[in-house]
Amino acid sequence: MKGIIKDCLILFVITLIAGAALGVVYDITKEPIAAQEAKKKVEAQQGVFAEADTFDAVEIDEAIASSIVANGVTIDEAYDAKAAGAHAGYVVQATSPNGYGGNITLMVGVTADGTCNGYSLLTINETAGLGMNAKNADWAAQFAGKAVEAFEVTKLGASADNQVDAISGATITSNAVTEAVNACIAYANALEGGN
Amino acid sequence: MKELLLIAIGSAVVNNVILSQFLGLCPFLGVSKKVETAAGMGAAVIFVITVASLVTAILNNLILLPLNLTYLQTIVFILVIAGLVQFVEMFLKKAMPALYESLGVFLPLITTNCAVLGVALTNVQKSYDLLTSVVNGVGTAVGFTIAIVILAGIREQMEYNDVPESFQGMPIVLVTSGLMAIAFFGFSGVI
Amino acid sequence: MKQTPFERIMNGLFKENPTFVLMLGMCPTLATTTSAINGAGMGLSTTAVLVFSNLIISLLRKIIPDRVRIPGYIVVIASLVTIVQFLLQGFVPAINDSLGLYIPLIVVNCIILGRAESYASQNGPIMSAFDGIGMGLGFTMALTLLGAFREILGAGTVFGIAIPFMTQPATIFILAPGAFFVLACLTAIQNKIKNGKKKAGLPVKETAGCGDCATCGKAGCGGKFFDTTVESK
Repeated sequence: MKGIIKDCLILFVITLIAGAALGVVYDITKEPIAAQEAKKKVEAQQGVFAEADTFDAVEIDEAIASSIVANGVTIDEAYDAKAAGAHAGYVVQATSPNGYGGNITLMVGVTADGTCNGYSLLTINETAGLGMNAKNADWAAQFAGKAVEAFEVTKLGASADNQVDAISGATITSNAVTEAVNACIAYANALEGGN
Repeated sequence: MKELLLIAIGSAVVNNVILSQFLGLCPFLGVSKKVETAAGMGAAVIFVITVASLVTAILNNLILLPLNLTYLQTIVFILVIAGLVQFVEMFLKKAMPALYESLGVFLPLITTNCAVLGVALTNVQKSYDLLTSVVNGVGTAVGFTIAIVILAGIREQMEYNDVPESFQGMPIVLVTSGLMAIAFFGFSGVI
Repeated sequence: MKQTPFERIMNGLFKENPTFVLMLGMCPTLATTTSAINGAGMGLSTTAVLVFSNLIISLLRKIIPDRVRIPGYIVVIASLVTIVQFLLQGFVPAINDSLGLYIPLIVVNCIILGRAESYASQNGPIMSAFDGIGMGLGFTMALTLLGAFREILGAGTVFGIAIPFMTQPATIFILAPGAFFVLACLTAIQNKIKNGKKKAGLPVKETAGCGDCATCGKAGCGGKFFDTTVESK
């Protein structure tokens, strides 16, 4: 009996030390992790709005946001993109929960005249080789440089400006990305209209 | 209710834990020679994953999150699962000897079945609540059972086949699993 | 054979390569080899955990009581894995994003607990660390090779660089079934070599492999968590 108590005590001490060590590492790495996430965000903003140099966060108007989204898509953040101090457009971040492997979070830049600058992905966890092709620059380019109200996914070859080809074998991913992009465009247009 | 059903189907067949996520391969390849033992293993896994996802979800939601100790997740989960398996084994031995007879041998193998830890971590990652966690756990475990029982069925038939010498044993089982994985792709349109 | 640091590294890389010879840790092997860079990332993360877990467990081998050694090892390994996860998040977020769930799952990788039980708990810290380096590099090499193979066949690229004549890649090799097929061919080649040796009358070391989990079981993975029946020494 005494042996068991001693064994457990040693195990307890080891666990305690391990836990404490983890706490220390957690504290040390907290800042770099936060810095990485901030950096990722800035890169995403610049990726979808190269002309702008400052991005000021805009508070999300829940009433507008909930009126334009469907299927559980959420508008997370919005930024006023400014080039040399003048308003140039908006960058909006939205999350679609309808990806094949869970949430897809992306940022879309929309210029003041309503042209979509394309998207950059922040979170994506789709199947490698299929859904992950959403990261592919060729596919993403379909959204760039078009001024449309909303995109729609087609499997028959895009013929109109507002159509995008589905990623082959990954219709679910294509739909999720497109609905998130549409939510961003709609929100940016709403903001633009409000100005 | 509809969402829970979707999650259950999704984790059971669409994102099958073995055939698309590669979790729990050890028992999948090791204990799939006979349908009977495969079903036994499946039952044990369903049992353990259900209890484990319940317990880890409770711990995470009631202790780790409020205390801001989420960085201890991995360490807490693996200890809880390992302890739980042993506890279940001792309990079954005392209380239900008949069930222990049929499941007992598989229980120690489950500790390192990464599917169990995988489910616990997925629940946290997708911030599922208690009920959803359990539903996801049961779905995953059922998916595991489906896959292992089918494989065992095929392997029983394959006994009489003339397999090329180099492919005998593990290689042909892996080829079979690959073909099953292709078949399971068919479910991807379900959700 | 006398054990030297160099011999330990060669042992891990070739003689007892954890993937190709011992067939341990199959889950991450299949799941994370969708591209060469992912395989390498997983391999190096595992190596980091393996080296330090071997080192620490070797240092603690006289302190940890025999009866509770498995939980003790698991605590050490799980803490190291979490530390590696934080470091990746903070400094190499790309790897962390693409490996996701499989980073914390390094905890249940048979190789780590297996080496702790069969090597680090019986040998000095320096040799244990080198054993960890060898095994880790062997694992990394195997994963990178498999990843490169699947990436070339499935996407027509290697380390993200396009290969000119691979214009019609077969995506299936990146998908789940491809992993099984590639591994099947690999084990078939291994069988072929073994059968050849058997015919030539050479001794063949049986590789129990993760297939039947015997090595794992012996190494403690599948063994009792709280050892209630301590063998008398």
